[in-house]
Amino acid sequence: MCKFSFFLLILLFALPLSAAAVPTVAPPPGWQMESRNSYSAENLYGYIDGGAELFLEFGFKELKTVHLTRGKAQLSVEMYQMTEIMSALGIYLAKCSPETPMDGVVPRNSGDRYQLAVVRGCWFIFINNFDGNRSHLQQMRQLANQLAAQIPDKLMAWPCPLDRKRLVKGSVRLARGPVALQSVYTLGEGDILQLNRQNWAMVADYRSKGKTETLVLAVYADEPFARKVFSSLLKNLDPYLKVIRSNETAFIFQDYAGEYGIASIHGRILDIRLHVISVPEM
Amino acid sequence: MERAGYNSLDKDMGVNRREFIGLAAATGLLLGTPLVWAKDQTGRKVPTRPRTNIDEAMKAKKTKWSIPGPFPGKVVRVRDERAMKDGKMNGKVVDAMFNRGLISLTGKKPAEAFPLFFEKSDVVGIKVNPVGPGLIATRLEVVDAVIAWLEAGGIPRKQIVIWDRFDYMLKDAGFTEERFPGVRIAGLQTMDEAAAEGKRDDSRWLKPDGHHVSEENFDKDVFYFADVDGPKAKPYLNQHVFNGKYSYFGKLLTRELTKIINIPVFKNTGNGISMATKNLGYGSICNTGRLHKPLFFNVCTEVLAFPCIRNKLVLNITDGLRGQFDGGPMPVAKFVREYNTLHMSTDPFAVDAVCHRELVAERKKQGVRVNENPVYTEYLRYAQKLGLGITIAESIQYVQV
Repeated sequence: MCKFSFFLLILLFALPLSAAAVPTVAPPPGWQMESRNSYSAENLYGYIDGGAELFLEFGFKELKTVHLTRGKAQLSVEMYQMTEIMSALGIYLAKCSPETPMDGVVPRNSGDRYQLAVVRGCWFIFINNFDGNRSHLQQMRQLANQLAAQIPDKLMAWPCPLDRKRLVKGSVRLARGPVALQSVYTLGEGDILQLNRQNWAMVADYRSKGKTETLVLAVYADEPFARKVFSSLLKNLDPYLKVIRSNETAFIFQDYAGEYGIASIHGRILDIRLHVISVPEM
Repeated sequence: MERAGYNSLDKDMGVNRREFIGLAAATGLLLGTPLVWAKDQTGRKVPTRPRTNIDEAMKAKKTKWSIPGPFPGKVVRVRDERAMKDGKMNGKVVDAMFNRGLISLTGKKPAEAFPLFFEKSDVVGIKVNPVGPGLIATRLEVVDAVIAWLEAGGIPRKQIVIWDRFDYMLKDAGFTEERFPGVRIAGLQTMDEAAAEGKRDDSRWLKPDGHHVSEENFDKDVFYFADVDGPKAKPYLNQHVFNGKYSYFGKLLTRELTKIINIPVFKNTGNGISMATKNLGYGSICNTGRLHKPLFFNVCTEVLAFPCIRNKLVLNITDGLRGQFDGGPMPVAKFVREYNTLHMSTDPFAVDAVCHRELVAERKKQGVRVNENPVYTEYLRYAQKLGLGITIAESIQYVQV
């Protein structure tokens, strides 16, 4: 991996929560509002038992659901208000990558005839069309655009120092704790990178010598803390990973599939590369 | 892997590392409040696994009906592309798939296979998964096929119960007495969603004496203990009935049902699966919210070790007419597709082991990110150690029909 480093894309300015207005669902012509509900962090499990932890980890404030009907036809809207823009983007990338944008939808989106996901500002929105009836696609688009129009578009793309040619399209993810990270790789039990729902790590796949490798970059407050995380990672590394070599700033390990990884500390950044075919150099 | 250029990168992009970090810190972006982190994060707490009462469960005697049943480690996969097409079900095809699977699993015709699992006096509970109605819930047509077999074997409809933990979810997924006349539909508990959201008072779920209206549905003599407390908040109590260190089994399981047929759906939960063992592990007891984080998949093994499941669960049918390959356990349509398979086994852990491997293979085919760390299947190997099932690939008899 040559001259490949740091931040991939998508670092965004945090938007104060108070600036995020609550969008209102106006039923499309002919549709009726059947019910509206909301869920707090305390009872989110009641709505997505087993799936709430990822939302909470990224930073969840409230879920509002709206159920619309027209005769026997049904559409439901789930509006997840996250604490920060990054939180909403994090959950969107976790749920929707690789993205499949739908024609005619203005905000960033991914979907099909069954479900359309939208992210804008602090909001991550699902529009569900559970029977997949294609005749409801237009209403799904309308709802997405209508809701997005009520949310300030504060996203700001960050300059990307990455060699984009090697980046696997749609592979970028964010992590703010162990649940998101576990979908990528298991480095150890619990919050092994000590992201603590505060610090962010970014993940992306990239091509190297014909193989797809994975990069994880975690950023900490300062170098001493990053070093502490590095030492803790080495000490508490997942038992299915075997350390081959180590020094004060890096260690190489082999995983259960015979692939290699390397973790190294660079200032306050912890750089971890996974699924490396040959033994990396330290 | 080359590592050159780490400190001299970004030239192509016109941003160097120092600039990047400086700018990031200046805007507070992504990095939060560094000083707060430094103060708060002085060391990492490594999670420990809470103590449970699995040893007590294992002391109970096995019976001739105990899992892994008469065909330990045998899993039959039935596939027919005609079962579901463009979202439309063909009940006749599903019925035929079920019967083919049963014949392959038992080596007998369905009527002859019946006594392997049932006596005519049995009260049979069909555990479905109604989460994700319309998209990825247990299909009614699979349940129809099972009921037809039970009736043909001599079990009247009044001795058949379609059940899940939550009553309202059953209704949402179409499991109603109108759709299944003569068959009892039973949720172990109710939950008042409106009250949980503060839109209604608590009178529909909370009795004046401070107890949940569904408390009586759970058996305080039969419980899964885990040394971790459920939250005290009312919304948690509304959803989970109890909030201490005990997860009681539904009385339906401990006192009424004599046999259980388990019909989960084919879907993932994170890097693992939410299929046969999770359908029962988290669907048979209350106060489960506290268990996800510290014990998660181990609950799927340990809860099934209790006699009220272990000695009654006779058949597992994983409904993969649709499958969800990512985004689970919540329904995410993007990752749901027609899959037109049923997996059948008397061994819940063997069928989960097979389905886990199959799901991983499908995820890879579809380009879904996969974390194959063995930790996500440790609960299966744990089950084998406890003698609850066969999960090692070499020992599983896998048949495709």
